[in-house]
Amino acid sequence: MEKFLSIPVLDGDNTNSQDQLVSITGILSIGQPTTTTATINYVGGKVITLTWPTAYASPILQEAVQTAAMEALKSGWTAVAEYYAPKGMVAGPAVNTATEAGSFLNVNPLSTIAIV
Amino acid sequence: MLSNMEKFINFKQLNVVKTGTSTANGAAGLTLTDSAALFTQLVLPHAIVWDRVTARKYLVTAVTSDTVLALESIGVDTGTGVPNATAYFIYMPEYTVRQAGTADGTGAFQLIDSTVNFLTAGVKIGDYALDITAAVTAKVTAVTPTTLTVDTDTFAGGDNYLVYASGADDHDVIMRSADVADVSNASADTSIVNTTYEPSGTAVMKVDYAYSSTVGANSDMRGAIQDAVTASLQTAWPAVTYDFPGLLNPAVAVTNATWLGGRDYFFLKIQKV
Repeated sequence: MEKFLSIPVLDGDNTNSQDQLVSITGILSIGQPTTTTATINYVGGKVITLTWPTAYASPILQEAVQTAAMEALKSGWTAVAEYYAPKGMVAGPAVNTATEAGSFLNVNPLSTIAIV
Repeated sequence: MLSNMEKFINFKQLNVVKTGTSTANGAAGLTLTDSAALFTQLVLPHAIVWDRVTARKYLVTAVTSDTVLALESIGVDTGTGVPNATAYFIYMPEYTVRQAGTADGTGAFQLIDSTVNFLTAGVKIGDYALDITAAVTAKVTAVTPTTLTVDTDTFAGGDNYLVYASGADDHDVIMRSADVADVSNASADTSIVNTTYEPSGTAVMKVDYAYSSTVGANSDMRGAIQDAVTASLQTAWPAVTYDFPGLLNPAVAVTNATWLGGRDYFFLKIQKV
């Protein structure tokens, strides 16, 4: 069963944010290697790093992502993608859909989401 | 493709409250010395010291001074003290420090520090306030941002203090319990259990732990983790996480019986390797 967190992250030109899917299927563990990053380690070996624009002492980010992932896995199977507002983010309105569809004026979304 | 349900064991892992490097040889003397530390405002008896070089573990028996801790060896691989120039971690399994500092005012049955905010520090009624200078512990009966009311009149301006709560300073760490291929003892250490996962066999979760005794078998913890794996897989959805139920050291004879019963255990680091 496939499940995802949908997380606001800065878009390509670093102005607005767009929601990006991050898989929560096959998670091995979740860590916080630095004060601005949390990592999702998958059983297949891949690692996704979520980067925050502001620092939080460990394990604040780790616990926040753990909680979001575990709650999403408890939801019914039709809830495939669960929205997760990253810690510290303040939700803003949508950008004019005519000019930038799917973008939002959120304050402090994630800086990056990277997979290796 | 993985087709198992998503299941996890939830461990309580102790937080690292202090890291540092020793500055004198405590080996043979069962001490830790760090001239840069301020142990009196961070550490209480029953804290755990983990020597990160030799992997030996200790309970703090006394906070001797700002820079010296008296230790008692725990774990099967017994130590004699932290050698010089050795990195260490400290954990608090019994208490959680909320705030420390120096009182800058005097009031009857009050601890006053205008430089901090006790409310945002999480101080609550029922927490403890240690007057380090007078070596007296009081109980907190009321909290405002800069003043604590306590049940013993001991604090005066200039006194060093430490405010703490009962309960371990720890956090939740999840470890996958689906797709487990093997749970085994580490060959080179008596307090590490490794869990290996399908399908690649290269994903491994390492659990570093310690008993409060110096007697115990690594296989007992391996068995407890195996039991938790099977128990978590037996729970029905939507119970995604299963809280590790704990393991009292089942060794017939334990040591350090006066320290946390000698049968307690602590998870120090749970990580992907």
